[in-house]
Amino acid sequence: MKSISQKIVLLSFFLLIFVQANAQRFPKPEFESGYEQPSPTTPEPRSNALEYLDVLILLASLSLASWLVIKRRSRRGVLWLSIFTLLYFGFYREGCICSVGSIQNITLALFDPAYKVSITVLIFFLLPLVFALFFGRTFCAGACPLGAIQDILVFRPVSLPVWVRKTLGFIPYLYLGLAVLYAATGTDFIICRYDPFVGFFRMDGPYTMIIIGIALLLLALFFARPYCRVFCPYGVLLNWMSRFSKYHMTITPAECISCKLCEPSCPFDAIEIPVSEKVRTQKVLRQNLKRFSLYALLIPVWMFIGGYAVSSSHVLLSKAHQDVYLSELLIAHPELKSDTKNLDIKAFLESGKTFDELVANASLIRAKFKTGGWFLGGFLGLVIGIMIMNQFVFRTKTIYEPHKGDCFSCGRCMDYCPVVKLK
Amino acid sequence: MHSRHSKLYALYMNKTTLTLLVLLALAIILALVVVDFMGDRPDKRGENPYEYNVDQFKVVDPGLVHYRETKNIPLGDRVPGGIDVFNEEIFLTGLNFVLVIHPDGLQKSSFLIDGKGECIKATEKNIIVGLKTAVLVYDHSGKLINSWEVENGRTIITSVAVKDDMLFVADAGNRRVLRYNLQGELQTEFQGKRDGNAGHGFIVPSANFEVVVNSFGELWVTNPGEHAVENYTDNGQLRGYWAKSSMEIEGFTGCCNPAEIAVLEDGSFVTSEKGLVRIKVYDASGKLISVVAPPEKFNEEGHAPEVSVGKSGQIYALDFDRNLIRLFEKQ
Repeated sequence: MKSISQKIVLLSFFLLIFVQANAQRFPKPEFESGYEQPSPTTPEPRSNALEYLDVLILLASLSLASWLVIKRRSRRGVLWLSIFTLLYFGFYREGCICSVGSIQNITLALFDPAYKVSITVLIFFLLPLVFALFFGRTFCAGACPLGAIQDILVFRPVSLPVWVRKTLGFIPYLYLGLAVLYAATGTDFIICRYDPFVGFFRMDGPYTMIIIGIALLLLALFFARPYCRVFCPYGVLLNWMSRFSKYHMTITPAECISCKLCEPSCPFDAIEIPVSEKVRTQKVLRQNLKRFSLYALLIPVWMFIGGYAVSSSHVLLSKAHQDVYLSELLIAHPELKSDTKNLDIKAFLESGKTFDELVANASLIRAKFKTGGWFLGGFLGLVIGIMIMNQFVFRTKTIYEPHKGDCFSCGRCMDYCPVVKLK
Repeated sequence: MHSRHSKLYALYMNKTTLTLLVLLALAIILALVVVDFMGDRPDKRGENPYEYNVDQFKVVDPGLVHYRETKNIPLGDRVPGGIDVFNEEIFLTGLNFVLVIHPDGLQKSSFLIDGKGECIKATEKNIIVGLKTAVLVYDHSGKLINSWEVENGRTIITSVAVKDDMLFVADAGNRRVLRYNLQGELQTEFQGKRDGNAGHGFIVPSANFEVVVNSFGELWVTNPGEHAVENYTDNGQLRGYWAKSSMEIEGFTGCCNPAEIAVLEDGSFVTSEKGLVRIKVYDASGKLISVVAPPEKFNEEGHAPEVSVGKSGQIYALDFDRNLIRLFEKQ
């Protein structure tokens, strides 16, 4: 009994010391205004150890997703993994760190020597691409919270006409190109700014983005994974890598019997159906070869037109940069220089820079946009050229296969296949 | 009912309609993104979500304002530092000068000092000037009688007060009050700590730290970080205090208020605040009695005027932002 009393006294003593030690040395004045400090829009930075934990979880998720899809062939397993990803990388980590957005960090680090990326960001950028190179887009299937939040809402997906899908398929390239241009010029991280689901993960965000997020989730009921298919810039890189994947998932575990049962199973229209033999007559093949050659030769023209067009738009594009816009604004309205109510002008005035320095910097940035415009436009011209050229490419298809670039490796189609692999 | 379902189903099956709806939705989403992107520009942004609008606290009930401004004395290109009023004469110090000004604004006398006077206190025999790290004692003819350095690398002297032969010096840099005799010998110093290590001492986040002696011989020191005014014995023992933290007119707000104080004949306090600049009068227990000058009388986010009190209760405010001595008298 005496021993217990001693322990209680000792415990109380330590508790008192703990409370005393944790008391604020400098108490904040107690205001009575009811003012609430707005919460920051990005999560607090984590310790290195926890960042490495995130890397480990990403690696584990990618490995598990690849195993579930390719070896275990379990749609249910992939679904549960994507729910875990949604909870961990989405709601717990509040959408940051994110492979999709890491494109911008990597780009800025390449173009701005003063900007450094952590090894964690680099791994988050590279790891899904490496997995895609070997196993297809298993990142989209089980390790991406943005994909997961849309995937669980797929209800009655409709299949859009091919020409619509092809046209919409150009948007991710445009988005990727703009994201790289804006990151390279230090203008903005537009992928992060227009992440439509991060507002849900953080339970906070600009109302415009919340509306866009809700709209995309509603759309996902009938047009599966709209963000992944129409916007995701990282999907472009995954698409490229996945096309070369050696161990990509297959619809059938053995030999395809072309039963057509899997044909409507993919909500993303990523199943390639066998091409009818009668379409591929010698005459058609010869015509297509001519067109293919013509459009292949036209690709440099497309690239030049694209480069010229985008580079010519550098004035408009560069307005997104704070310094460019501010210098133009102050040249057009010099009276605003004394407008201390305007936060941007106030921030500029307090930075200690002169107006001449601002204008000089703006000119430099605009020149970067002009050069970058050629690359962006050339890239977009190349994409358009290849898209048109591909219209005349026929590949022999005798079985039902997922399109390696477009397939998210979700595994839905596997459940439709009646073929059983004999052991 | 069956017919209605059939129509819905037909609509659902109509691929063209659905395609158009999907495209429309995507177009709206894209348009929203573009509009948002183009709208986020320096001259098109909405209100700052982080701004704490204090406009409502600038409005003061006119019934509380019992003083009116009756006169002001421009200081020209002089750089003022401190003010005191003694025997109906205004003693002003600043960069390299001490001025004695008649209440009608005419200069009565002046003398040069070496450095910037930050605070000043006039007595029957002496004029005491506090520089940043030194104390200068003059007679009324401007002759330097004594001077000494306050030895510490962080010293910032912000206020001096006199009681008999004791000279109290507020050192904001070291958050302490020093007590000297007029010969410059250090008698004691204190940091406002209560009972050894218990409780806080003076919390002085900026160079606003005041010491005054009232007509009853009581020593009062501001504790601006605590929004408090504290009463000490001559040896630095805390006797009592009052504190008011509030954005409302009844209290003090910000990092360091009251920034300046003076004492009226009856023991009540004249307080002056920075940031949301205002001058008020509190009784000895800390109850707000009246407002001398509401925020509208001063520059926005300005410095706290230094205050001093005349014999008949008129209040002199040294307005650093407008370089004026401003006189406020009861209405």
